[in-house]
Amino acid sequence: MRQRGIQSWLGLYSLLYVAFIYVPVLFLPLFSFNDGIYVAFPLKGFTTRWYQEMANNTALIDALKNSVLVGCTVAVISTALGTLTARALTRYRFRGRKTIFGLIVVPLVIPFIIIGVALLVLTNRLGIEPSLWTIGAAHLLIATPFTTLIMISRLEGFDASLEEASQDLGETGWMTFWLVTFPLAVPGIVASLLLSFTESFDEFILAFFLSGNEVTLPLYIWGQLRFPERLPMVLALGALILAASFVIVSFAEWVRRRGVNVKGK
Amino acid sequence: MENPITSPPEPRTLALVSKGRPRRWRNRNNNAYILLSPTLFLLVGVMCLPVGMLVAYSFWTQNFTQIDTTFTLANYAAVFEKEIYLKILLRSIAISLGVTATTILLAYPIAYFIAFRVTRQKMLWLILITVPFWTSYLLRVFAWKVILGYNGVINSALIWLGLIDAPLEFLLYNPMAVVITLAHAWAPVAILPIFVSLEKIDRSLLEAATDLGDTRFERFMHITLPLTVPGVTASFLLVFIPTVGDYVTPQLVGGPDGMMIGNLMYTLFFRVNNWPMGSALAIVMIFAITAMGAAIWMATARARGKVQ
Amino acid sequence: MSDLEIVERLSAGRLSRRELLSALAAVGVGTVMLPARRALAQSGDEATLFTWSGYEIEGLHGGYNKKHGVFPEFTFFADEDEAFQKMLAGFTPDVPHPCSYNVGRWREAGLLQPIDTSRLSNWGDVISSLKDIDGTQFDGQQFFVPFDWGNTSILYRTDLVELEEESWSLMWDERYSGRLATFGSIDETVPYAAIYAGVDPYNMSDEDLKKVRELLRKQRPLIRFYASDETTIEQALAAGEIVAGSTWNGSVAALAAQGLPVAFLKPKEGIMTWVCGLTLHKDAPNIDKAYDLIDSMLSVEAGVTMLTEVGYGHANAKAFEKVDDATLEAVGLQRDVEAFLASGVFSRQFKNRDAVTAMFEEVKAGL
Repeated sequence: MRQRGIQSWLGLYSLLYVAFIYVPVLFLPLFSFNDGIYVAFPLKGFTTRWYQEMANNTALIDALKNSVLVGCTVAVISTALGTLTARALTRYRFRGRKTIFGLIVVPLVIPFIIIGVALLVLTNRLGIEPSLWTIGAAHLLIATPFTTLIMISRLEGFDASLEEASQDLGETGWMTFWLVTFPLAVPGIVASLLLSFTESFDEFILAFFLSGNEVTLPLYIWGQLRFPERLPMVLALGALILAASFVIVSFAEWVRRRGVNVKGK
Repeated sequence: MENPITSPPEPRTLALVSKGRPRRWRNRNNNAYILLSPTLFLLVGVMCLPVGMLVAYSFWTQNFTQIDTTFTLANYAAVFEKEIYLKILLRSIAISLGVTATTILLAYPIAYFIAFRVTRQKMLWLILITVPFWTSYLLRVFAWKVILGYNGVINSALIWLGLIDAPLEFLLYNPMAVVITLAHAWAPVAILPIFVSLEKIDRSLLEAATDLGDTRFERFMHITLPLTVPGVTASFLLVFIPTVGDYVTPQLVGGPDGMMIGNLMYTLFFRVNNWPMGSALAIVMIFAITAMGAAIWMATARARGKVQ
Repeated sequence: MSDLEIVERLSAGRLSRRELLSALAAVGVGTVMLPARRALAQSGDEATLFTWSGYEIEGLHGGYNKKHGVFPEFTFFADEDEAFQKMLAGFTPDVPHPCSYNVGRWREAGLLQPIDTSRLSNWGDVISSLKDIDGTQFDGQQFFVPFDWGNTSILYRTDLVELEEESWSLMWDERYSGRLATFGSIDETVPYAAIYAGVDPYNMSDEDLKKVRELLRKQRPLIRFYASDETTIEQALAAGEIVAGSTWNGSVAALAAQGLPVAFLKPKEGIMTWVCGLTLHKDAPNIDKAYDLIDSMLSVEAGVTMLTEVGYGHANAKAFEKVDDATLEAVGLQRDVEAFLASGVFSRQFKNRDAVTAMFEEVKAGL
């Protein structure tokens, strides 16, 4: 009897917890359809004009394009770097392996504001102008540890004898990689791409310190937070990002499930 | 199988040696360095050099727009002598500890629920909890500003229901608002490590304990809780470290008393125009955070050792 | 889930202390010091105006739009210190929009170039007393084109405040504790504290600075928030969240338009006055379009928009002929600029700006 009691309390708590996490976030879509400028109850009526305003706002579209550009570039490069690094760490013994591994994980334990400030100081000293490139470089630094860890977990369980067999059968090193190793690593690669893209797309503080003339989406949003008239349009943007996240995360999960079935173990 | 982050993964090259191909081994070692070189290049160029420059700046002085590169310890002296720096640093650490404690305390029960009570749709729950984390952080903080605001959701709802006459003023522009906002923002992050370590607990241990007469509570205290120390430690570090240096939340909802070290650093770099001072403060901050992280690490080392 | 697997590793315990420390040691690689070069300009297509929010209204840029078919680009800053740092870090707009007291400082930092007024068709109509304001001309060259002018004072809700006298003391009134707001930048808040203390804000001795610090410390518990822009203050006033806040004439227009009972204080100790204007960045990427931008903002049409819609003074004398007295009075302006500027404490550069900044930041942090 007591077991049931606790179970229902725990279940209730969990539901409340999920509500606690979601309710503030759900205000974004809620007020993005509200026909009024101020975000307060009572609601004033349904409208889609904020979405239309958003679609017509060139500054917003430009910032969105910049974020997508930086995000994709960072995703591809950091995944590539993560894969290479993971391969080196999982396949070879070499001097300094532990130190290098430690070094790779360091960006995870430094607050971003410190990285931002350090890069600001360096680029200023070297006369490098802040731009999307500097933001991208910073994002690359924080994304690569994640992709490395993902790829390590993917490649580590990988049976080397498969590669051995392939090479015994006459394939060169490269072909072995493409035909044997790569397909098995794909779920990890997809996860790395998605994770690093999302990290870069939503990242604010590094962009804040390192931006030049071109802004990314978070910087644009920051600039808009002060103006009440622009706010609903920004909420519309947030609602769309939320919806897109659902889609992307579901897709990633689907890919992962396929990967589990196809594993080379 | 060793724990993967305490030490790097074990390479599987023994098979090669036993098959008698030593020459391949030596070449492969160089291959490793070749594979690593782009990443090392990135780390050196985008992390080591900048932080090194930060250290260099911390020993210099700034006159208007010029940097005087004579070595000086004046900045570090200022960090420890002028009240403002340590005060804000300690306040940031305190707020962060509050946020971390709150998120972990709130996260533990639901992680427990998903690990032990949910049988089929575990992944669904986890995804459900993580998705909000992928919306814009800025907008989530702003959502709280809107919720706690004078004209915001809570106040307008309470007034509409007739429970209060005038809006509550204490909801916004103070450290409590910062803690609430950050706890909400980082909640999903805290759940996952705890969940994973709960999942890994060997159920037969729990059965054995029940067979031996432990009550549910005793079982929790003797087995479950200690075995989740690694997960809790990971959650702690994952939440504590980023929140200490947060800029956005204190800026939007913190008010005068909620200012944290991130805001102070912004001020030093972009308003007071004293980059060396800002650099010295950043270095001190790195040490403080590392010291705290290391302290937590060592404090839980014994407990974690038992887990392995 | 792969995320889970990472997390699994993380949950098992993170770096060993040894690894972390050796990694940090690896971070202390020797530094390469190169002399700082001047940043190269980046090109955009249209002229960029670097300004506070609110100046992107179309009515201010009609001339530019007519000539080029599009509006100029806008980049915003919250206060001039932020703008200064951003430009020092390499950001190169065409036309920064500082107030007169920052022209010397920005020029010293190598950010500005002189403006050839012969390229401005509207220069002849500029009110003459604004042409040679203190600190805007160097070596006989014009570095600053005046654009807007007005007051900084207290805007308060007449229905929520019982005013005892027209004085800056309102910002220290304990009756409204927790319901006051002021700007977080030193150029807006420190001067009126100094005026209230009876010292010259722009030539403060150590003693004076201490007095002002004490005053600001006394004020802090009464302040609900330090604002970085006037919209936040306007909104809080509109909601009743604050009863009084320091702001500019433009806010009067904005809130009066919403039908709110507000009034702009005329402190007996002296109201603050300012003149802000347009400068030309040294490495401006679109110089010709920059001149068009400045010229268009000096036009009569822009002037009328400023006076009627935005609520600040404008530099073009002819714009005043098109506006009636009532409109001007409503926002606290007048036709005679010289008299206006003489009637208050004109904003200039602090003698010891860094000390003042440090002082105010400490007060804001609670010391």
